[in-house]
Amino acid sequence: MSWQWVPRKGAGLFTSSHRHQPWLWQVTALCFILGLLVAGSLQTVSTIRRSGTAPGRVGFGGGISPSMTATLRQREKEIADLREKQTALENVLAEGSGKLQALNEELQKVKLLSGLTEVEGPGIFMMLQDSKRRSNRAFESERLIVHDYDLQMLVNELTASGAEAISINGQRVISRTAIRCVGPAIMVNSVPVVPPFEILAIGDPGTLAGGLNLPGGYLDDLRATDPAMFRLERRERVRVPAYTGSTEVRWAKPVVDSSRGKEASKK
Amino acid sequence: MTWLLPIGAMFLGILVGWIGFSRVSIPGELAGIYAPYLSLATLAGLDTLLGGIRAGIEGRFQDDIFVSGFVLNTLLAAGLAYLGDRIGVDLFLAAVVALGSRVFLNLSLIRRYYLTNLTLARRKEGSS
Repeated sequence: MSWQWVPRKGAGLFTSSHRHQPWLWQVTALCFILGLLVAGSLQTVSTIRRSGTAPGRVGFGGGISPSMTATLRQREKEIADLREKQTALENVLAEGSGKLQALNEELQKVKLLSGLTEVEGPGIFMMLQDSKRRSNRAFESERLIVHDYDLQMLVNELTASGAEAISINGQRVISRTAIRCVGPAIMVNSVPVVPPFEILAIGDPGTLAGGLNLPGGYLDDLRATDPAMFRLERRERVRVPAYTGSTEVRWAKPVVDSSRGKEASKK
Repeated sequence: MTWLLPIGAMFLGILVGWIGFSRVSIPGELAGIYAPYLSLATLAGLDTLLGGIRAGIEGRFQDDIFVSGFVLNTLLAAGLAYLGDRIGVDLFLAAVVALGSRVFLNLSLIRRYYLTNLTLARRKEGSS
């Protein structure tokens, strides 16, 4: 027998020297309960992973609930639809009259510039994600993760290369967009985005890709860290969604220069 | 082969629990809230199990202590975690540390007992 070393005299693992040995059954029962608990824990953790909710405890319910997020998404879609409808109405309104048509053309151009309309054109698609590699050296593990400043640098580089519209995970980057880090998430337009980041940019595909690939530039750096962290594709046709956030302006007012003439100041 | 019984029971428990828990769909928010408590209960169960085995080896196993230890440890750990949530201190860490260190202590004692017996038996074989 393989467990010969268990001494005959004295207590073996489940052959207590004591007369009563009901503890085998109790240990068995507890093992069963423990199995239930382990299975429950595993299932719970996988449920949490799937739903994407951070494990929190009573009193600190982790973040926004899924139903609220769904409502938010729906409202954003409504905003996008309404803005589209507004554009259509403006176009209809401008039909016929030459003056209105000219005004509307100007208006649509401004809306395109400010990012209020969905736009399409040639450009690039870029996927950016955290490295699967792990490192315990602080300076290296820092670089294996995509940070807010990575996205900032990327947007900056793309804009410098003449990108006319940029979006990150469906969030249009406009002049009032902030890209910042809040806890584990990156906020773009005050909306949390998570990896993998999908960046769309409209512009000359060659120039955009060239700008990113400049020697010593952003992608050079990334390639040295882990080439699997990004994928860059030139695309014939890219659709960049419209900005769906708030357009409220509370503080800034256009300056009407009074020295230019009375018509302007009176208006 | 009696030592197979608890191991078999644990596998059976995992199987039953896995199937049972996958039947009921728990919303993610709720799962996030009770997950630490379930983990604590698991830890308390492990602690009681190893403590029971150790007591059995030492020949001073008492079933009332075994059962009440499991129930009370679980309740205390869960209560501490809840209190910690209420007052904003991670008190459940206290339970994790206390139970965890006991798990290791008990395991080391069980291991020591068997290794000692093993060397004793080997020496006996060699001498005879």
